[in-house]
Amino acid sequence: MTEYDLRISNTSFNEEDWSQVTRIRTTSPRSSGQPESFRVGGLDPSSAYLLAIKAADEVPNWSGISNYASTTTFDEAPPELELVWGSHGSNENQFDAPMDVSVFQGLVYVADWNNHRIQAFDENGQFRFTIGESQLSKSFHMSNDAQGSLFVADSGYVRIVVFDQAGQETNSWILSHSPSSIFVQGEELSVSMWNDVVRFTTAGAPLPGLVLRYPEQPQITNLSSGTNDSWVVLFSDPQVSSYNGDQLVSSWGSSGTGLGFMNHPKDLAVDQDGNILVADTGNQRIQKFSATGRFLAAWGRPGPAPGEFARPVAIALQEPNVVYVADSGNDRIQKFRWHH
Amino acid sequence: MRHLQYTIAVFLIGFTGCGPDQSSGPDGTAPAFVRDLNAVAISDSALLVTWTAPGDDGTRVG
Repeated sequence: MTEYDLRISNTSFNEEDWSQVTRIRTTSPRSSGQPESFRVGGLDPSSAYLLAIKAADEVPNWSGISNYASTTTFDEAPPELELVWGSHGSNENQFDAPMDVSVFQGLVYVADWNNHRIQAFDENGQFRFTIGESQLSKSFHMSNDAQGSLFVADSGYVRIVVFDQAGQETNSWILSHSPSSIFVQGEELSVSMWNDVVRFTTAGAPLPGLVLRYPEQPQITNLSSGTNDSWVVLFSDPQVSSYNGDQLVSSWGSSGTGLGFMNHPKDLAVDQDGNILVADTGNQRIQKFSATGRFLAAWGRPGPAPGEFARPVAIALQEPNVVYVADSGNDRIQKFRWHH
Repeated sequence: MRHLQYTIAVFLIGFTGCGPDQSSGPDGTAPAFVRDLNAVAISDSALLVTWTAPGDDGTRVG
């Protein structure tokens, strides 16, 4: 073969109107049976497109029309990769399965799961200091309060540990069960343990907790503070549920691999507009949804190359336009930026 | 009875076989059509289209 004829349209087309449909110039054909891949740009957002292709030999004899392929462009542009740092190991700047990332006051904190520590970096990925070496075990999730204290849900030692901005431990208390996630909102600390959410003051005094679901139902995967006084729970169904206090406001989410579907997501973050970013861990990508669950954008695919993911388990937003991803299987942090 | 005049044109469409005598003739067979075209959006302005290169069934000349 010597040539392809790829056509694209917002409406259906066939052999009769083939020549009137916009043609996309592709690369030259590879040999028979080889996979072909081609990026088509310059399209409109939120628009459905239909594509079909013909192949020609050297005469040229043109083949019949292929099957039709269709897709809809995103509502929003995904962010662009800005920085990648980290590799496998136990030295500074190395990770062994980073499980959470949190950003606060110019520092990026990484929960370095199998190294039993937290590493702090500046926004350029430069190592600054280590927290909790020999004090933490399998630390799962982190959250900051407005004063800059770092609250760590230490799943191995079944406790909450509080560090100041210099990395010194200032408080800790034991929990009844191993915590899976944590977030601070104002002066309140919420910690999920299976389907319970236990609450404390930031000083560690117990507050009334919540039971969101019964124990046999899919458990809480993560918690995040939302806009205003709302907060958002990621269940393992997967479901993304928003609450005001203990009042359920909205709930959405479906399991699957297509755009807008989730596969064992592990983390979520709420931006200042109320949109929700999900670490779609099993699908090796990050997805962005509106507060009501409308799919807005996605980025990433499986692999080790920059911009690709291997179990992206955690995300951290740095408003207004930066997001960090803990790319656990690749033992690195990836930083993305929206250029609006 | 009215007399109508018809003009009839006949096109002969021939099948070219696979016999060895075709190797010196022109390639009259088109490539197979693509069966697995797939498109997936990758941003608000771009999509990625993938497919498997089909077989060129005809005889390659030159």
